[in-house]
Amino acid sequence: MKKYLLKCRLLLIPSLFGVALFYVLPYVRVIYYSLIENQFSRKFVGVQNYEKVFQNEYFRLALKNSLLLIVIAVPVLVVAAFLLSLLLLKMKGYWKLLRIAFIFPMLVPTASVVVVWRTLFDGSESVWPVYLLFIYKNIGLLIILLSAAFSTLEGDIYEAARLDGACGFVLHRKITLPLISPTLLFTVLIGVVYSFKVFRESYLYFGTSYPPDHSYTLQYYMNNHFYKLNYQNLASAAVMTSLIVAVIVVVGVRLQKKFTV
Amino acid sequence: MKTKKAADIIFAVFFTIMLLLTLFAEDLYCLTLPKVAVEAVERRGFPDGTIETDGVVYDKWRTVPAVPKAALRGDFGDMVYAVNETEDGTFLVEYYIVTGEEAEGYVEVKSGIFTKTKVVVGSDRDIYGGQRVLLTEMNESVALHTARERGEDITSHAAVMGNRLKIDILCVVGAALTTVGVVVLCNRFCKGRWRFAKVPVLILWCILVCLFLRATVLLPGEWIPGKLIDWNGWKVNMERFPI
Amino acid sequence: MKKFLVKSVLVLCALLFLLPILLTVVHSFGTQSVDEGNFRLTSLMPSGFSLVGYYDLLIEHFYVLRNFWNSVFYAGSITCLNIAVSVPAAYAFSQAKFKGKELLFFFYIMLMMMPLQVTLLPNYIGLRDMKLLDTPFAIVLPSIFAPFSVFLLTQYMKGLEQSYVEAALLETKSVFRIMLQMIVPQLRTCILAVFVFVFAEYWNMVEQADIYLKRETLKPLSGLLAIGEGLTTSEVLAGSVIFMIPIVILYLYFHDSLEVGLESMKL
Repeated sequence: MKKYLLKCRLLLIPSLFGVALFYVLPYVRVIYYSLIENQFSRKFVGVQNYEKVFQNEYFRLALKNSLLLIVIAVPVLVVAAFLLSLLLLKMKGYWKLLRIAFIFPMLVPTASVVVVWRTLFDGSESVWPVYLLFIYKNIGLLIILLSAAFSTLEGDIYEAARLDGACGFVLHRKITLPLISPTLLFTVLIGVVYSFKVFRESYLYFGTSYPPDHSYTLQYYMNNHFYKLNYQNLASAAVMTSLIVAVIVVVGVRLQKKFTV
Repeated sequence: MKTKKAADIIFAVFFTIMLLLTLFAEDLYCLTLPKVAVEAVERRGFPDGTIETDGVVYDKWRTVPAVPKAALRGDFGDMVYAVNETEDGTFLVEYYIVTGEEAEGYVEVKSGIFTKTKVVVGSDRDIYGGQRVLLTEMNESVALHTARERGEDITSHAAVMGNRLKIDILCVVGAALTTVGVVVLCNRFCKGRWRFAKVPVLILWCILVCLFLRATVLLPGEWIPGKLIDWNGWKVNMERFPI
Repeated sequence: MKKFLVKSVLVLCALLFLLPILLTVVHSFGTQSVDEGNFRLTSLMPSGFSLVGYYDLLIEHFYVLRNFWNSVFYAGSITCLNIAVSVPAAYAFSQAKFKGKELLFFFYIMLMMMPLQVTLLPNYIGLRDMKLLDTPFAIVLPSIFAPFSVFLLTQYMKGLEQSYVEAALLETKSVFRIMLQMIVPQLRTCILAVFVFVFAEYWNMVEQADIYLKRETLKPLSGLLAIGEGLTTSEVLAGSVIFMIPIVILYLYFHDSLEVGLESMKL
C-alpha cells in the first residue's frame, strides 16, 4: 500500500514537468524582467517598472474598463443564468432539449457569430455588444453548474417548508438560496475570472487592436504591448494582472469555503 | 440515439467533402482560369520594295520581329498580352508596343517587346492584365470567344459547342445513374460479414466518379465551375454556350 | 397558464440565443446581402440562394483547406495529449498523499483561472528560449499542460467510489494497470466532457496562433477567419459555417457526457 501511494506520486510528474517548463519557470523570468531596466543593461530597478505602468493612462483606462465589466456584466450573467436554470428546471420531457440552445454557444467559435453580431448591433461602438457577447458565450457553463446544484436539492425540504407555511418567493429565498449559495459563489467567481478572458470576443467584434476608449481592457493593453515587444512594461502588467486574479480567486475560494460549512 | 446517427452522417459527409476538396480544389481552381492560345513573337520577312540589279528586279525583304494581328488589343490596337510563366502559375502581362507595317496577318513590331515572348492570340473568355491563365491550343471555345469578340459569325462554332454540351449532360446523367446502381448493389451485397466494405466501396466510388467527371466534363468542357454555383452564373453559362 | 408563460419565455430566449448561429448559416448560402468592406450584413434575410462564399473560400482560396487540416491537427493532438497527461495527474491528486498536495492543487486552480494574456508571455518566453517559435510545437506543447482538465478530472474522481483500489492491489502491483483498467472506464463521462470542452477551446484559439506563428501555412483556420485578411465577408461567413461543423458533430455525439462531466466543476 505504501509503495502504491509512492508510485501514485510519480504519475504527477509529467504534468508537473510541463507546467514547470512552460508556465512556472518562464513566469519567474517574467518577474525578473519586470524588475530590471531592460534586457541589455539588466540593471535592477525595483518597482520602477510597476510605477511606470501604473502611471500609464492607458493602463489605468484598461483597469477601469476591466473592473467595469466585472461590476456590470458579471451580475447580469449570474442572474440571467440563475433565472434561466430555474425555469429550465421546470421543463419535462422533450422541453428539456431547450437547454441545448443555451449550452451550445459555449462551444461555437466566436469568429463564427461575430459577423452577425456586428449586423445586429449595427457596428455600434458602445460596450454593450461586447458585454452581451460575453454573456452569450459563458451562460451555458453557468447554467450547467447551477442546474446541477438545483437538481441535488431534495423535494422533501420543500415539502417540510410548505407545511411550515412558506411559499413562492419566500420559499426560494429561505431555502433555495442558502442551499445553493456555494455554487452561486463559484459561478460568480467563474464569471469574474472569465471576464478577464473576454478579450477574444471584443477583439473580434471591433476587429482592431485599438477599440473605442470604453472597451479598452487590460487584455488589449497587454496584447498591444506584445506586438511592441516592450518586455518590461508587459512583464509588469502581466504580474499585476496575475496578482489581481490571484487575489480574486483566493477571496472567492475562502468565501465559498465559509458558506459551505 | 437519433442524434448519434445524425452525427455519424454529418461526420462522414463533411470529412469526405473536405478530403475530396483537399485533393481536387487546386485542379478545380485551375479550371476556372481563362484558357489562352499563345504564339511566340518571331522574326518574319516583310516586303520592302524592290531592288534592281543588272536590269533584273528583285523583291526586297527585311526580317523584323512580328506579332499576329489577332494579338493586338486595346483602344489603339497597340497593346498585347504576354504570358509570364512562373512557379506559381502563368500570368498575363500587358505590353504596349509600337507597330509598323502589316502583312499576311502579321504586324511588324518596331519596339516594346522581345522576340520569343509568347503573346496571347485568343482566349475563351474576357481577360485582363495580371490574371492567372492556363495555356491551351487554339480550340473551339477559344475560337468561339475570339470570333464573338471580333463580331464575326459564330453559328458554326456554336453548333460544335452545343454538341459538347450534350456530351457533358450525357456524362453527368450516366454518372448519376450508375451511382444509384452502385448504391443499390452495395446495399444488396454488402451484408453480414461484408458489411464493413460498404463505406470504403462508396468512398472509392465517389472518388472514381469525381475523376471521371473531371476528365470528361470539366477538363475538355468549357463550364466555369465558379459560374455554376448560383442562378446568375447558370444564365451566364447558358448565354456563352447556346444549345 | 403559468406553465405556458414559462415555456414561451424559454422558447423566446432559446431562439434569441440561436439567432446568431442561424443567421450565419442562412447568410452563408445567400447572395448580395453582405457589406464587403465592414464584415457586416446589409439585410436580415438574404435575397437569393448561392454558394459563392463556399466556392470562393474552398476553391479559389484553396490554401485555406490546409489551414483547416492544421486546425484539426492542432486541436486533436492537443486534446488527446492533454487528456493523456491529465488523467495520471488527476489520479495522483486523488490518491497520493503528500505534504502540500492541497496547495499544489490550489496552484493548478489558480493557473486555470489566469487569463490567457497572462500566460501568453511566460509561454512565449519559454518557447523562445527553446527555439520553438513559428513551429507547430509552439501551439501544441504549452497547451498540453493546460491545467483545466486536471482540475475537472480530479473533482470528478472525488465523487467516485474509492474502496476498489485495495481490492485491485491484491491482484496487481502495477499502478498503470489499476489506472487503465479500474479508473479510466469510470472516468469515461468526464474524459469525454473534457475532450469536447478542450477541443472546442483550442479549435477556437486566436491569440496563440497570432503571436507564436508567423508563417501563414502553419496557422489554424480560426486565426485566418478572425483576421479575415484577404477574405470577403461571404467567404468569412462560409468559413464560419465550415468551422462550426466539427464542433456540432462533437456536440451531437457527446452532449450528455459534456453536461454531466462539467457538473463536477466545483471547488
